[in-house]
Amino acid sequence: MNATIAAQMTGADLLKLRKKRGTVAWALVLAILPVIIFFAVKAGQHSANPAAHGPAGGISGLQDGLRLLALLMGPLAGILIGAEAGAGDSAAGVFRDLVVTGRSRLALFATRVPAALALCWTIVIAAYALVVAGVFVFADGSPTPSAALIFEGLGFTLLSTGVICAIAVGFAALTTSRAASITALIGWQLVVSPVLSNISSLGSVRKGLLEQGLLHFSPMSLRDHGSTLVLSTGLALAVTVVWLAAFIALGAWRTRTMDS
Amino acid sequence: MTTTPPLPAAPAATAQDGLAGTAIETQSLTKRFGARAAIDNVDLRVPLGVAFGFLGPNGAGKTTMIRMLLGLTHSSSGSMRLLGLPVPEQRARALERVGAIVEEPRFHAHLSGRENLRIIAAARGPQVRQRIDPALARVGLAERADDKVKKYSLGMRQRLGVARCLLADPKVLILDEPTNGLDPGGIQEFRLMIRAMVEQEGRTVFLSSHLLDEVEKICDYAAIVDRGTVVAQGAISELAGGGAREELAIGVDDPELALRTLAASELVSEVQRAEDGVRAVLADGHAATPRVNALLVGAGVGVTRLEPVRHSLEQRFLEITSRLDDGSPPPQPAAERHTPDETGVPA
Repeated sequence: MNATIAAQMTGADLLKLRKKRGTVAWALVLAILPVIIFFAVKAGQHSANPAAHGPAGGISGLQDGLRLLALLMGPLAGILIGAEAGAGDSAAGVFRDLVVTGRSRLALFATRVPAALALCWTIVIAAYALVVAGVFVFADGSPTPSAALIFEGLGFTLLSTGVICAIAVGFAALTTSRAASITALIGWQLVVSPVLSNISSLGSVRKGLLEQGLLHFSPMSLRDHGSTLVLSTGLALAVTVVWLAAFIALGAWRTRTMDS
Repeated sequence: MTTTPPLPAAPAATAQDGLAGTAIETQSLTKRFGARAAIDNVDLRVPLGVAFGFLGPNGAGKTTMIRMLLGLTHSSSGSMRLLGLPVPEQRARALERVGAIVEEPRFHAHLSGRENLRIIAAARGPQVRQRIDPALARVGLAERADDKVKKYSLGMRQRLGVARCLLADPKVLILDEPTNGLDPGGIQEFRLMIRAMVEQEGRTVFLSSHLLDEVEKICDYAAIVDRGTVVAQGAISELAGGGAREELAIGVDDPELALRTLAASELVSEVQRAEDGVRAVLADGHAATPRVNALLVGAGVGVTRLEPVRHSLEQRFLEITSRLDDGSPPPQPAAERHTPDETGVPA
């Protein structure tokens, strides 16, 4: 497959995704609405009682915004989009028609990942722009982040949401079920992973959790208070790459071998 | 369906490009699901440039056969060639010139007809995109191309499925039960379109169906499949038995006397009572009909009717499958002993 065909196929996958209005709308709601609500509530609290509540913006606003967008809601948007990209062809029953073109199944799988990332990152960048706007608008005299920190925060947000989105593509291709993939991945992201991270008796085994690997790359400390888990850069990178590679490989294997 | 200029016909295949010879060829092809053989040792030969029916009851293995040919599922044993190329070894190259609808045509319902074709065109290669508009026009969907597919009727989806096939500028179209769910008008339109593709554009159409009438009207050649086995294949006329068995329905006033008279004559090889007289298989073909008439009249039998019996594919199909039900071997007319190529089809 040459670059022209790869670009065309990625464009076709992106077309399928961006025209799926329900998915796009929910991803936008999940990524953007919490940011708006967060700043609205914090700004309201601050204006009502400045002594008890600090400003919504400033550096602490960026820290909270990153926690909200990069660790909580952005990944959920990524899961919705990734699951749609991974299982959309099978769900619509058109995967066999793509196979009949003679194009390799691995190529059909591979082009879904950049398409999903393109849509996911577009939405996440829009949400991050809101976070940055809120950080400055609601700073109320408190220190504001430097341009470097803002770009590092963006990089971390894209890394976190992108990895989870790509994992969702692989997992959905493995299960061939959008609904099952979304349920399982959101359950993992919101419930299982945080619970495991907080079971101290698991000790350093918790370092193998994807969330712990990703947290290492945050430009600001986003770990829960009292967390003693510290990963080296090499280990954090290895954890992230293993999770990503494992699910991409499983999705590719299933796409290559399944009856269609 | 609107009349539109046909797509450019596929250029003739040559031995050099590896596409010469047969459209589809299988040898001892078998597909097993556990102990059950869905396709059992099938030898099939579909020549280029014809409409070929793959006929069998539901569950006979038609779709499994098509899925193996297209690489959607693996065979258990045996070999296949598409356009002369071995599959799955050279599947990608073979499928460049093959279009297919497997079971009912499915699409992304949230996209328009044109967008659905863009997705397939992207996978087929950069030159294919320019075929989208002609393909939509060819199947009469140009006006509705930008409507979402979820608003299409089943007939429109079938036509969009054919347009999707045409993106490949296919030498071979493989259509699985293509008229399922179509109304009589839609079936008629579909039939005309298939014939035009074969006769005017030189394409080969391999069409699976359980509808005998449909295969008889659309196809030049057919294979009858039952329980995973091809039990007969050849030209439609030969499969129906018309060439091998010339039979007369004779209306008479005294069936018993007619039966005795004909049974004693060398003009007739087989005779039996029928509801309104007798039926006789002529030993020397229909040329003997006047002599049969004279024989009966001479014996004092009043003849009210002499009518050649037209053997339909449906009769033949029921004969074969009912004998299989009895555990008897299928009958062996000339067509079964020859592949279409051997029966005079230009390959």
